[in-house]
Amino acid sequence: MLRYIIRRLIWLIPVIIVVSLIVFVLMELAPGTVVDAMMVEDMTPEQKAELLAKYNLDKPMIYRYGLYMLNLLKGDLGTSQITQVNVWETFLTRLPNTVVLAFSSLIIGAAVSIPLGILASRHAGSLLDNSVTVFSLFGMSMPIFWLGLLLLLLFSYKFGWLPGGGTREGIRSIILPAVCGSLGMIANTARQTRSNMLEVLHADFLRTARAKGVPESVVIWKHALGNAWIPILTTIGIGLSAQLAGSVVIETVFAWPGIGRLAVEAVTQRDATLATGVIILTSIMYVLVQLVVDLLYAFVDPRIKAQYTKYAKRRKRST
Amino acid sequence: MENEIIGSSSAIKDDTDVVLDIRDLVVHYELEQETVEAVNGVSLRLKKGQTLGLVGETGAGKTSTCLSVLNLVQTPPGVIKSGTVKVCGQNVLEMTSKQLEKIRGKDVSMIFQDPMTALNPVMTVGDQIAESIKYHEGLSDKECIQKAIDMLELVGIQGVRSVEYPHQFSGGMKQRVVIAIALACSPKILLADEPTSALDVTIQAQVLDMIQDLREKMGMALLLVTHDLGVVAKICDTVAIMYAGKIVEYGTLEEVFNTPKHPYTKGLFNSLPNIRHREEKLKPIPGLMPDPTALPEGCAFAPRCAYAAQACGRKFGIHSFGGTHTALCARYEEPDFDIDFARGGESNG
Amino acid sequence: MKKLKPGASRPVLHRRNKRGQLGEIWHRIKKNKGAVIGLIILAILVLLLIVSLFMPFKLATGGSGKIRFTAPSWQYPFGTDNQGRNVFYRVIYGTRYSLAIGLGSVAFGLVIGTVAGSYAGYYGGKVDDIILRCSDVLASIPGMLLGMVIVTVLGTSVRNLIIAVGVQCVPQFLRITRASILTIKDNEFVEAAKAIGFSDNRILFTQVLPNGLSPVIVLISTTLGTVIILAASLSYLGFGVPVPHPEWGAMISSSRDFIRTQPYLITFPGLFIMITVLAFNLVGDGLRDALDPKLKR
Repeated sequence: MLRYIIRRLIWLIPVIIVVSLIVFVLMELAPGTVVDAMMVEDMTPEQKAELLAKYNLDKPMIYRYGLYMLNLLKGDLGTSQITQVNVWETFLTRLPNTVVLAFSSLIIGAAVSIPLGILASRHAGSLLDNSVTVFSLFGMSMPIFWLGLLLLLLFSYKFGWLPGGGTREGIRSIILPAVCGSLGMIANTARQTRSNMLEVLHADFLRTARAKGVPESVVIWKHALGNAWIPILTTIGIGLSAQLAGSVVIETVFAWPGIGRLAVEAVTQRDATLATGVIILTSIMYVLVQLVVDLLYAFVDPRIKAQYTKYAKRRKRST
Repeated sequence: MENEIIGSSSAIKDDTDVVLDIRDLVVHYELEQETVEAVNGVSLRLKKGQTLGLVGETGAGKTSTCLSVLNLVQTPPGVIKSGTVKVCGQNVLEMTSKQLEKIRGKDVSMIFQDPMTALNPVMTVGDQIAESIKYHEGLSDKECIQKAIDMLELVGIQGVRSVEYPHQFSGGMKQRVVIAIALACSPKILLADEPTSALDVTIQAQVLDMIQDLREKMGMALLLVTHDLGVVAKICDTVAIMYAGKIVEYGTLEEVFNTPKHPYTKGLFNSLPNIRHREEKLKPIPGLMPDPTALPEGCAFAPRCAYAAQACGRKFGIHSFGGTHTALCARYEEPDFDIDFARGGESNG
Repeated sequence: MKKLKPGASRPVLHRRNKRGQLGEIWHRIKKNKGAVIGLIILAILVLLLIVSLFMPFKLATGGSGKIRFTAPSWQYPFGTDNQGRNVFYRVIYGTRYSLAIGLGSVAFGLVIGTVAGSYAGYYGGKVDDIILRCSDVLASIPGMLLGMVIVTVLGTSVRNLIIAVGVQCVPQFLRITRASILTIKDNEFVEAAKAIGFSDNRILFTQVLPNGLSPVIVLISTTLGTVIILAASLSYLGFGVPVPHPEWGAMISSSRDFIRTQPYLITFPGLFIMITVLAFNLVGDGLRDALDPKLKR
């Protein structure tokens, strides 16, 4: 098991290298540089040269990239070309906001979608079931930014109940963005849960349980759900990845100071160091989340666990 | 064995030993476009310690009959249209869920056909056995697990394996676990629905021996559903032959095997390859089982029967041959019809 | 229920399928009400697309300051925006972007992903390893970020947006194709083809791949929906098509400041995005059910 984890983690290294290469090169290729906004008309050529030298823009790209990678090896992501603040620190300051929002959306999403999916599966074909399906389809088809704007329109501007963005009002600020983020997840997970439960509800071992005299509620909640929640877990894991990916949009719409918005700002401002750093770190997080989900899956499903543990190896040798 | 006539509604004298009493059971499956008439008036009785073999081809209604005993027929689309099923004197068809949960696994247990899918993949086998004990015997968790381990040993699996998961067992062993679950609370009736069909022949023999052994030890009544006449010969003392949802012949093992009276039963025996009378061609029963959504009036076997007559198209009753031997065949209403002497194709009005 | 006379029996036979494979799939789709609705919506959208092709650019981008911010009315069904442009015309014109970007990106991802996935699945070993790893690395970068960076480099245009989004479709198509190929390549007809002397490419693309296409087809339809949302989101953030072009996401973005007073400006473009994606999702669902071999009639 441990070997598997280490192997997956080692895989992060090429990811970092390739991502950094792609992003760095692309940022470099992009028209315009970070100094453009700083150059003023009446600067002398020497001052301009000085400015360029400050950012190493007078040297070839390879030089800058090499310097960047060297620093990366030391664990130094550099400083933002614009704010002059350390990239790592900037990331760390904004990360908690994204994490809080992502988990809030996740919790709301899971808390609503799983029971909904279970209900829909138990009353398959009923009005409730069909409503859930229709709702899911609509939810999956709505662009998140549009949904966010509509929520703002309704709850903030029209009714004035909730703030229109930012984090100033504490818990009230997080309600709209969290709900917005969760709706996409509800749509997807409710459908997945429903279909996973349906598959399990027709399984033979449920009949065995009933024939044993196990009460119906236990048959559903312990036996059926006990099997169904494994694929549901994967769906939630995907949901978490999606939250991370979607953070860019939600944070922009609700002016939420997280890393998604940080990335947009960095790219827009051609801050190559900051942009590269943020994207590398976000990619790493993305990969780690997926790794955790895979491991969790192996952990809860005894069939898969057996493939990775020593016990399985011992048995294989004996047969 | 007492003098009894199945299907008759006359009062039965001694039923203290009767653990299972099915009367005129009718089970239909109502689908969107059509209705499957799976069980059409089945009556059976099982006494304590009796082993009844319920024989029939696929689709004859055997599984539905067994499921009815536990009232586990899948309710949409299945419907128990009429009849009574009494387990130890109480009609299960009128029981509440709570009452049913009490008797399932405790008074009546069932073993299903396919062991591969019968066990919960994410529970250890020990827990699955212990669960049955927990709900019926009221022992502490520890005691339940201990008893589960004992049951595993009883079916020939090492007790230490109680912490393993179903996927770690082979098919034959899985079926033994299923048997352990079924017998954990010493039920009075065991319904075994083709317990060895999914297993290979050598394992089959082992499992059957074990079932028989346990039955003797516990004094259970056994209803063994099978399409294999060899298995019936091995462990059953009574036989019921089922066709198109009805019992067409019933009797002791000797009665039915030595002197089969119903044309279908005769056909079944004739179709078995006989090692002593080697022949060139096998003799299958011509035709196919009727479509259960469109059963003919009168005898369902008539279209394939060599002895069919006009009388077969109408309703008729069961004929008794003395002892416990009965058959459902219209020809026996004629006074001198005897299948052993009649030629195929003869009809007497 | 019909009662039959003795002597007659109705054995259970399988109804012979007169429809053939394609016909069967079409029949199943027709039965699925959602899919039918989806197809109808798509048909309407295609109609709008055709209409938009005849629309002069000016009609969608030319505006008069005098008629700024008019609310929806008979004359201006979707109102006019901050530059006095007729939103109704803009939305209809915008159909071409979404559909073009949608189809273009999916085609991009499909071609590259399917070919790469086929090779990966078919050859296995080192080839498989390398291709799979490349795909994994590509998939590690969150979609929006990658898209943003690509558009920043290449500039805002429809073509570049297609590339930015298409690149992200590659890993999904790659995985699905690879998985499909893996299950098919061990069949005997593949061995037979090899024995006859077919070249690997010929076997792969004329024998193996055609048999593994069903999951790919379903993926096409569902990806179309995802891609359109992604493209609209990128446009919303400013990484889409350049300013005057009436792409739906960009329209919402430019009207964001006026949302309190002119909410209709964001309503209609968003509605169209949703309906388009919904249509593709419905059809995708229908296709998935229709192509599922486990589903009995």
